[in-house]
Amino acid sequence: MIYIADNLSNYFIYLFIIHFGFRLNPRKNRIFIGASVLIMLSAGAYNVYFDTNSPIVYLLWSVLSICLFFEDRLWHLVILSAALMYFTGIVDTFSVMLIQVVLIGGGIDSTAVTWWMEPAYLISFLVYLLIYLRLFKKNDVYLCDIKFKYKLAILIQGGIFQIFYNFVFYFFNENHARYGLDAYAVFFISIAGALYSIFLTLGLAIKNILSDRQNRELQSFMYMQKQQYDYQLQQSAAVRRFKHDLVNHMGVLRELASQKKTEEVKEYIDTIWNMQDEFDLKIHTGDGLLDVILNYYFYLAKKENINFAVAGKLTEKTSLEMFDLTTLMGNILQNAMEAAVQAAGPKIRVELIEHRKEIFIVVSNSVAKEMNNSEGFLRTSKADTANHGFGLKNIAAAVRKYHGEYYMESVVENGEAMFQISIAIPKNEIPKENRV
Amino acid sequence: MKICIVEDEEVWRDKIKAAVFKYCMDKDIPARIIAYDSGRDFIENTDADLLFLDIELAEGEDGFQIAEKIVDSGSQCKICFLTSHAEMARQGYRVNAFRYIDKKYLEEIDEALDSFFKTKLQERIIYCKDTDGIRIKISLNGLLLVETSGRKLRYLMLDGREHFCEGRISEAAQNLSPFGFFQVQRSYIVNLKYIESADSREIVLCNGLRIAIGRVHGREFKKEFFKWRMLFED
Repeated sequence: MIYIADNLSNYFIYLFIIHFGFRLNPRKNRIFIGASVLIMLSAGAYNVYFDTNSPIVYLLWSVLSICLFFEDRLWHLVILSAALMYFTGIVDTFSVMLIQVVLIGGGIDSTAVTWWMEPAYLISFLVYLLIYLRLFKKNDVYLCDIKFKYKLAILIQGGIFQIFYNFVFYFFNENHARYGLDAYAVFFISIAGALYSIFLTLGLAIKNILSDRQNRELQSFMYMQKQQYDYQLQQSAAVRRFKHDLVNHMGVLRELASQKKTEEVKEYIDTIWNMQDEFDLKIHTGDGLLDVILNYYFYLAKKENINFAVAGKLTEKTSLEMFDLTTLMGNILQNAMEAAVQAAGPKIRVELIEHRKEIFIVVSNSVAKEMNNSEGFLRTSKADTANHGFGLKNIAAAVRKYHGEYYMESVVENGEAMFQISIAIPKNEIPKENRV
Repeated sequence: MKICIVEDEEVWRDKIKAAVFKYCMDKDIPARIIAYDSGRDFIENTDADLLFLDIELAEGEDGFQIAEKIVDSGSQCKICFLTSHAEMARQGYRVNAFRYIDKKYLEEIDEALDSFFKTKLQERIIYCKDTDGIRIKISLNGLLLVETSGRKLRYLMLDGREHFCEGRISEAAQNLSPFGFFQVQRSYIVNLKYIESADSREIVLCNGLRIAIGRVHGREFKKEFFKWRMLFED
């Protein structure tokens, strides 16, 4: 029975780590999940029957059960489960040592599984739970986001500790009569320290990711700011050129007027009128900052022959800070532009809907062909896979910051495939004076 | 359906009227379209469902003031302001109207009308047989929720009336879902319009009733509720 309890505890810990740490979801198919449980139980039964704890059986059942239970690429699951088996083994060893030191004073010399070892799983589980709550959930970074080299480093770190402690523990077991309580206390503390150092390494890896993330956000913000600044410069240069030409225009007009050529005068004025019209901001939404962003993309869209339309007005500024509004709208419109140019009749539509408590922003763009709404497709639909996907993450982060909601879907409008992102931002989430 | 237009310039008035008329003809919507040349004439009877209102009217009339009067009178009338670009850039958008329509782009009227008729989604009546076999009318606008009650369905209206009808909740959910109703759990269908607040676990209806959201429905509910909020003012 002990073997079955052992397998069960391990199984639940695997499920916990993979689901919450690596963010993999169980398969939808219940047969697979049933088979996964069955394999785990039958491995336990095998161990009970032969009263053995064969490492091969252990490896087999854990890899097989995990591959059957979760939905992911197969080779990824195989590596993941094998590595996980090794790592949980390390932590379990530590937990067992902790119990042994406290309960028995280090006097047990056996490799067999016994009942008193079972609470070790509880300790291990507490370690994982602590890591999950204090590191992953708090920072919104999970094991799946952590770079491979860090994961490997943690594995190796754990392995080195394990080898070291096995020797020390062996020595203790042999000679425990010679030592007093203080030696056990030191041993206890150092093992707890080993666990803590794994915790710290993970924390560092997460810090690293967080700062990367922030860096990327800043970079994308700076890039967009620079683009808009260039556009403004260009506009102001055009205005200055126009002003310079104004004298000439006046001269021509005076000449035409003195010759009483009213038709020509009218025509000429119309031409100048159209020229000055170019400098105007074309889009007025009621939010000055949003106007700057939208007008910039309007200008870009015109260059690419994309039909760009904005519908709706705001009676008050959005509650978003400059940085967030630029990141949010910049990323959305950038993605929309990139997708729309590939469509037959490229167009982008921005809708602003203001309600009492929330502001809704809906951006739709035409796409080359009907898009699959699955996340996988969104990630791979671009040639530039390296930079894509971050845009979406930045969008998600900005929306989350203001306690908003967003949804992406593909819709068919008048027989045309469109991609649509809808965002809701609660009004006045942040006091107005904070607005840059 | 009564749609009014208040615009002092005859050219625009005719153009807008023609655009609205064409839309209603194309979509086969019975509507009375009445055009006024001043706000004073309109304000006499504000029972319109939708109003296209110019902001700068002749004789110093101000569209914003007229709009405020309409809102104060408790009218349910939705207002679409008519603007011309230059003027709006100067003034800003002071009143939260249903739409601001740029006179340069009158095709925006179609979009506004589309959205407007969507808000009329629940203005319809369904019929069902009550326990005595009598056919009764239920106005979707006043229907708060549908709940299973033994082997029957209980239709609870906003005013507190209730009807017990035959039927299965899954069928009712299917029939009602295009009209802004959502089955939040096994035994409840609610009118999304009357949700006061919601989080991931439960909703609070405007009569204070709390209903837990079924686990399987949570994500879908969030999305449906989002769409509903986007289309309709709370």
